[in-house]
Amino acid sequence: MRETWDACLKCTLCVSQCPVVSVNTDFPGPKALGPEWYRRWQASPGEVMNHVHDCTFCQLCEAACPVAVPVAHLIAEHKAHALSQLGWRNRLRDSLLARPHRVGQWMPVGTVPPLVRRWGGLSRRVRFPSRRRGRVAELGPALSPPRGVVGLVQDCYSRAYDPELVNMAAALLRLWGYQVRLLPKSPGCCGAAAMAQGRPALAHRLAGGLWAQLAREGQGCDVLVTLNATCDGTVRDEWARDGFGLSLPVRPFDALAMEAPAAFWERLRLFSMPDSVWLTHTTCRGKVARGDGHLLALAARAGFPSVRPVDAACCGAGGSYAFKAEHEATAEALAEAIRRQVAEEGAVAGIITDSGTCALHIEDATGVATHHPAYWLYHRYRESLGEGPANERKRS
Amino acid sequence: MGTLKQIIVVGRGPAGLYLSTLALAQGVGVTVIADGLGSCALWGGHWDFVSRDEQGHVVQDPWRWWEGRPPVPEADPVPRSVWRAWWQDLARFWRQLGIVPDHEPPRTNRWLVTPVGTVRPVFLAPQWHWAEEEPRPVTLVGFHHFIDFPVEVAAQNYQQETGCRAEVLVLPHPPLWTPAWQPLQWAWYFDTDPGREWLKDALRAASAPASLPLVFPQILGVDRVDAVFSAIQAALGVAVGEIPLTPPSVGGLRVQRRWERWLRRRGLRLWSAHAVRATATSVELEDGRMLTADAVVLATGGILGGGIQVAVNGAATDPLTGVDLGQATTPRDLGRLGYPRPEMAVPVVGRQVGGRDCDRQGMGGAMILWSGRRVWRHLEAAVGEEAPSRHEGNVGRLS
Ligand SMILES: Cc1cc2nc3c(=O)[nH]c(=O)nc-3n(C[C@H](O)[C@H](O)[C@H](O)COP(=O)(O)OP(=O)(O)OC[C@H]3O[C@@H](n4cnc5c(N)ncnc54)[C@H](O)[C@@H]3O)c2cc1C
Ligand code: SF4
Ligand code: SF4
Repeated sequence: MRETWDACLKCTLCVSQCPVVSVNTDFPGPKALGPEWYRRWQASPGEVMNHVHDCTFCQLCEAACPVAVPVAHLIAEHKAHALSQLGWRNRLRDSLLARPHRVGQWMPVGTVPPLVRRWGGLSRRVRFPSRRRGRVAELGPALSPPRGVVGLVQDCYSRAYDPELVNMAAALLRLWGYQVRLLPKSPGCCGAAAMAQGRPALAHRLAGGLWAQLAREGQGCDVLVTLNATCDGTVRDEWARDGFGLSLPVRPFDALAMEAPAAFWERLRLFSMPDSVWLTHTTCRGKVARGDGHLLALAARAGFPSVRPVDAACCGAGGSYAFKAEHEATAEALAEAIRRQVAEEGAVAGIITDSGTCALHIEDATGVATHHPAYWLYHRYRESLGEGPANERKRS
Repeated sequence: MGTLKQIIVVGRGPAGLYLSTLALAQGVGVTVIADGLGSCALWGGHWDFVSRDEQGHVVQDPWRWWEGRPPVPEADPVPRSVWRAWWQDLARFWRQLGIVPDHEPPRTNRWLVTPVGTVRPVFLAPQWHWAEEEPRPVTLVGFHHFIDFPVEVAAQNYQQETGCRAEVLVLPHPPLWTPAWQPLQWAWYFDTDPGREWLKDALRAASAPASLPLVFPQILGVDRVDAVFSAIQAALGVAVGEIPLTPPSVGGLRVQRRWERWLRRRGLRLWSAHAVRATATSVELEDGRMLTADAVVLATGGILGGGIQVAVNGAATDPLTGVDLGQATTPRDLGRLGYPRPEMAVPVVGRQVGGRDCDRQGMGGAMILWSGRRVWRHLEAAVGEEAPSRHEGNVGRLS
């Protein structure tokens, strides 16, 4: 990657795609904070810029760049030199948030008293996650002959706050004929959060730790499957570039879902859903690492009526970005575009997205139930079996 | 022979968007693979037919200029009626996206004002552009500290070049302004309700000369530009227009956002990835993954887009196909590099087609239109679809 660090042509395409630039008039933008800062820093280290920490690390700037400048990564370096701007409390907060696997282990969250929010530099308005631990039923015998062993990679968020989702995904995978192993056995982090927090060295260390865990515990698996788009992008895309290549293929959950046995889709499609609008939101990191349109195709295949993509490129959640007091306004302004779209579309029944923090943030902004595709597929299948909420409603 | 069900387009610039649209409009699935955004947001958003001849002289009637002239040396000239059908169809489609005011293509090139007040020919332009058949008196609006549009200089040049009056109106800058603002930051600001209100108030306070059209630098919003235009028109009762600024362009960004939104809603699959090899039916990605489809089209943008590599000795090749694309001996040759025909080994569209220097002659839009139509017809014929009865122009409509 290093050979393109200084390749900037000043075309400004990165600025044209930056979501923060679109809502925060103080934000200098990716070109100024990334390649331009880097050139000055190379000439004489020392100067850092204000508002560098307002970058969400969505990487949309990188995806736009015609010469592959790692703009967001340069900004992460810039942040690392500008940590003192944050003040000690926010630094402490961020050093915690840079280790989401530890946060998940130690903090059940749910409600956070106003005093703690104020003291800890946390947003006063935002909703924090609380653990979802509903019982997840198996979905019946496998619909296909054995298809191999899946190592289902639990991201920090789902593992801590949404074990229900992990179990739903596992139940679906078993239904589709896979054996499932939950990985990693003890909490580990891919490093994405640390990178976003401006701690590239820590990100590298955490990535190395999880990489070793997955390489060891993944032995005997045929494929590693990710649930969260940010982890997926980091593990599949970034790790390979950072020397943490895995011998196993890494695939996102929705890609495996598209290969589910025909009997699964037939069953789902036996029951048509009431006419309503559904939205899909591919998280920004998913757009960068993979692209767009995958969730829409999955939802259409599963028979969701009137599926449309969310127009906004980034919802503003940015991992833990929206939890921080100083980012409240930017995160809300970014989500506002989705709120407006929901209002324009009319009755939106649900939103499908591939990250837990995005789901939380979007649901908070729009009031529309927002979940991972595994959640929606699981429930839809249960309904088709006559065991889900829709059928219970019908019976009562 | 089968039917065309699924195609891969490499490249997300205007040529990639156009070909994807042709395919999706006919119910063919499209996967776009791109490692960058492409040039859409770099240009003003207007599609040129031909602005200058080979000697650099202004062309006023592009319809006539193209008569008897082939788009590339090895092709036949395109009859006027066929060009007309293509432009009309594009305009009808754009109208659906809210980009052009009229579904009829212009009868001649019109005059677009540049940021320094000179005028240049332009063909199919979004309704925001101040593009007129004849220059007329205007009020040019600038803002304090807005260096991308030197309004006094522009007014002087405009008067000199067109002989028409140009009044100058300079507005203050908004309260949130900082010296770091680029045109894009202004545009995003005017997209907000407070931004729009501020502009209306500032215009009222400045008492613009009555009845003259107000011509702004192109910063009047991004997604909500039409609301900004309506607000100004309602408040002052005069015509409003914009002058596209130097790249990157807010106008091009507006077009890109609207167009991609349309494509995404129709199920376009976008893969964010770098391709390393392409055949007529497969594309290999940098990470080793292989994608296949009924057909592959390269919209990889020539030298600027990354679709052509030129070695130190001037030898040009397509890195995806390995096809030898000749030799560049002088810098002027660079603009003409590309495939001599669009439907070679792997079909190519847009800047990847050689033979003409689109930028010097101002014919980027026309070449995208022609190569897109030609490749699309070729693909349909190659998989045994009913061949269009006479000419490319009969290939299905976009809207
Ligand atoms: C500054 C500027 C101003 C212009 N002004 C005008 C104008 O006023 N009027 C007009 O009509 N035309 C204008 N043009 C248009 C110009 O003449 C071309 O027609 C146009 O830029 C070509 O677009 P394209 O889609 O062919 O390629 P590009 O827009 O360059 O797109 C190339 C795409 O291919 C992708 N790509 C390349 N290689 C790979 C790979 N190996 N793997 C994956 N993806 C790859 C890139 O990421 C990109 O998405 C302008 C162009 C520029 C740059
Ligand atoms: S990573 Fe995202 S928020 Fe940060 S500069 Fe790039 S586009 Fe903007
Ligand atoms: S998109 Fe890339 S080349 Fe263009 S200004 Fe940004 S960093 Fe520089």
